[in-house]
Amino acid sequence: MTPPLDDAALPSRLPRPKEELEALKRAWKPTSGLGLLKEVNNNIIGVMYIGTALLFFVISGTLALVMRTQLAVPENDVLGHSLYNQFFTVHGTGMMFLFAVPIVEAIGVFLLPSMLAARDLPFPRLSAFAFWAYLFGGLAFFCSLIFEVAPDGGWFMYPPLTSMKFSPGINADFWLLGIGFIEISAIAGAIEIIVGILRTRPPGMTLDKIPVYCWSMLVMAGMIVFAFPAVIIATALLEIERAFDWPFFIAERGGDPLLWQHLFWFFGHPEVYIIFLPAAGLVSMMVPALAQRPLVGHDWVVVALVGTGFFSFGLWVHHMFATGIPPLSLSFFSAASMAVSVPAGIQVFAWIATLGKGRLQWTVATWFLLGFLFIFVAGGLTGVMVAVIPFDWQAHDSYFVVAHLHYVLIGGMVFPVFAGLYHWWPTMKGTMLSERLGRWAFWMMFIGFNVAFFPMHVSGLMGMPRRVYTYPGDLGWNVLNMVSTVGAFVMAFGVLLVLIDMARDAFGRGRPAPENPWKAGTLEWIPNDDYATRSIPHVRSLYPLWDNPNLSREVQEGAHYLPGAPTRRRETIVTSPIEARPQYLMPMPGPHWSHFLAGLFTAAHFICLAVQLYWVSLVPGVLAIASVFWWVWGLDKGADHPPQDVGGGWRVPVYLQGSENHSWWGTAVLLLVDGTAFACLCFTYVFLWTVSPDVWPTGTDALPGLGWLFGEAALWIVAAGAMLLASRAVAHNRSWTMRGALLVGLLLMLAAAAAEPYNHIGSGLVASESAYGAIVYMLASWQVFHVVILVLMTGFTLARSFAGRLHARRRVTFDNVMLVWLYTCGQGVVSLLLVHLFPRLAV
Amino acid sequence: MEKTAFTATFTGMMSAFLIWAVHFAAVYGINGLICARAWDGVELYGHPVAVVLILGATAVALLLAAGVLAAALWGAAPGRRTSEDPRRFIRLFTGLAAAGSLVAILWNGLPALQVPACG
Ligand code: HEM
Ligand SMILES: [Cu+2]
Repeated sequence: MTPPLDDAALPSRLPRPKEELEALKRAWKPTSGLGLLKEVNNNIIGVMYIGTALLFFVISGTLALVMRTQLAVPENDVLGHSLYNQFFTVHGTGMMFLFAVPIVEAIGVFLLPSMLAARDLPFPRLSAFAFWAYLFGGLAFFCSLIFEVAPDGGWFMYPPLTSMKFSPGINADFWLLGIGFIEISAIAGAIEIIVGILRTRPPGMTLDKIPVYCWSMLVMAGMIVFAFPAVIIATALLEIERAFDWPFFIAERGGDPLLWQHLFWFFGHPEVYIIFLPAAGLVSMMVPALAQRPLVGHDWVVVALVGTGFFSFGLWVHHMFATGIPPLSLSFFSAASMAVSVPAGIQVFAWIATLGKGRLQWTVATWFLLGFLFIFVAGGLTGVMVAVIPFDWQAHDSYFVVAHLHYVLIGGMVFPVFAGLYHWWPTMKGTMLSERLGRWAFWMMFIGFNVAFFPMHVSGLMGMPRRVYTYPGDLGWNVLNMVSTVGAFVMAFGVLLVLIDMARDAFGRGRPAPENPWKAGTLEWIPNDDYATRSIPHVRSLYPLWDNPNLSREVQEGAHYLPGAPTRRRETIVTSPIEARPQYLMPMPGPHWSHFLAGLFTAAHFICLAVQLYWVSLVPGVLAIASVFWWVWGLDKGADHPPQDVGGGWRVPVYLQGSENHSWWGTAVLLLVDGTAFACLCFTYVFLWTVSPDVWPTGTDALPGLGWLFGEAALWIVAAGAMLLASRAVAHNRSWTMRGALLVGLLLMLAAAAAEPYNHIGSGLVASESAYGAIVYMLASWQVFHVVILVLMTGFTLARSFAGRLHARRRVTFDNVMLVWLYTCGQGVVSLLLVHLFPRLAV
Repeated sequence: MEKTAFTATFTGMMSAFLIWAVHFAAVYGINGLICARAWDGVELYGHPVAVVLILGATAVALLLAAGVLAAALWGAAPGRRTSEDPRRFIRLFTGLAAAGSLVAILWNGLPALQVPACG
């Protein structure tokens, strides 16, 4: 390719032809009215996404206020016992799954493109799909309260309380299916964010010049990839147990409720950091802007973020200190819990040092940041306290923990997010929120928060357990509870002021903002439009706007990369992940109905399942799949344009196949998710064996013969070979060979996937009899599920081949299917080895 | 070429953290198994089996992490094959991550000397 530009020259020559901007505007023109449903532009989806998350925050918060009203005085009867249980479950679940994670992803979807000066992230339709699935699913989840069928097992839904025996209604199913599928939308968002940050950075933004916020989002998305599968598997196992009586968590038949806790907290603890790290990333961007100096210790902060991401996976058992785990095992987790506070400390010091060195601007965001520092540090201290095992045994399940968790969550993420709302509001449509209202809101929230939650430390230490709907009046908790309730309402009033402020702005009462009102140094402050910035800047440092005062002007005049829409459609530059060199010009999908319908039907499918309309659920299920096919059919357009000039002497193709293609990366990340889910199933197998080896077969008689193992493994391996053969056939445009190889391979996989349950049935194993049977059939079903997906994908590939959309020079779809296919074959072999060899070798 | 450079560079940067993760899973798994199977009475070289295995795993992990640190300090750092610019950062990142992981691994392994394996 062509050489990169030398330092002095601007990437594109000025002045730019007039038509260029017109073309850009035309390509990115947003749809209006009902067309909004078709829209995919992350600028627009991001705003709707943030709005929805705030709506769910308000709903969950209102539930909290009702709970606090109930607890204000002893023996109160605003909420009965069972309704209170539903309230705290929906409140906790709503806050964690429907507010906290979605809003940090939503802010990412909104902010990342402009911070990376990309026209958009690589999979805009995927994020739009994730948004709609989330919106419909979330609304349905809250509606369950109206019909009093809301889940009531707490946000962590421990079995056996949530097993069929103790929760016979559909309440628990609402949680399992409703939340289970919203997690899928979180994963979709994570894929978008990872590939976006690694591949759509502006030229020159090498690995060392990535803004801290993008790092934090990268870590967050990576954590979602490795944490969410655990909870998805856990919910799947519990739902299967409830529906088919496969005893994963039933102790009498070799299951173990602790299995749930392991899987849940392997997700649940990282979840806290999934929520906190993006907020910390926002802080690390706001602090330098407000102090007007670069972040002190930038590189250290980046390492700290990544380190927190890793270490937080080693903490899950600290939620299980009181469950009788061996002492030495506990001490590993206690040690890791304390170790993880070191990187958090590094960040706090970096912020304080930056604030201390600079001349601080006192904006609403500044206040929220100081409030955040205060509350979060306090929450961190009580965190270290509960990481000490003997203390935890005392405080466990008391209001002390409720106080701690709200200090960390509200201090650690709600305050930074509100700071961020005020700080970045001007990038939305060039208006500012009111500084005066904002300051009032801050003080009400800050004081209200502390008044509400500080006393809970005390009531907790005085013995008040959490999750009680009322208490007798003679235990000395009355005043504390009354104070807490008053504080909660004051805080809620503060939130209301912010909402009023935002409503004022929506009705046109916002002040117009000057360009870059806080004089920040990063790219999102370059004025932008639906098409993002006029041209994509060449980046030379961490704070490009500070280092080159002319940059904003240059960019707006079109002097940088991709000043127009050379192929007349939405597109952005894909760059290499380390050096950010332009690689190709990616066409982006435009507005469409398919992803909206897919989101709608997916939600409908899961809701039907939750209310046990199993047959009816097939209708939206099939429609959802059909919508996805409609959606992807139009992608993978091939090199339909010659290479284009994007500026700076770079002439890049409009299509790239193989492992450099962005969708290949997306598939690879998806397979990491898939692999983690499979690892969780393998863990389940081994874990259940350690707790109840008595239900495992002892002799080889109870096992299928080794012939099955070798036979099925051979089928998977030959199927993988068939795929490789098909791949070579595509490369040489031998379409019929390719089609034949795919069909043969598919038949082999079907045979292998069917043989496994068949031979266990033959040897008399019954899934509902023991945990052993349940996990063996679960692993077999997992494989069947993959083959079903591959039947759909292969059918799609064949259809494309017959339609002339698949050949040697246009094979991105094929390559993605190949990845999934080869992965499935490998997983099949590993699964066989575990199921057939482990009982033979185990002592 | 970018892809191999990316995968190699990125795993290199993460290697110390990955060593920590593997060590963590290993010691937790070892101890869990020993207690589940009630092997805590077994001795190896005159010491409880849990202590020997866990300290052994810790020593291996420490050596590996120290290797990463040395590599970052003395230049054989990942990222060599890519061009000038981000290299200093990549080395610094790798080194800091290795230093942090060393402490974390040690901090995790040491309780084996004090806390009874299965109680
Ligand atoms: C508006 C301020 C809030 C108030 C007044 C509040 C109040 C409460 C109350 C009264 C409970 C029930 C305690 C019990 O009975 O055990 C609770 C539980 C909980 N809250 Fe909040 N909360 C607020 C905000 C938040 C936020 C922002 C989050 C997370 C981002 C959150 C997450 C949780 C969780 C996870 C639980 C535990 C639910 C369970 O036990 O299953 N809360 N909160
Ligand atoms: Cu935790």
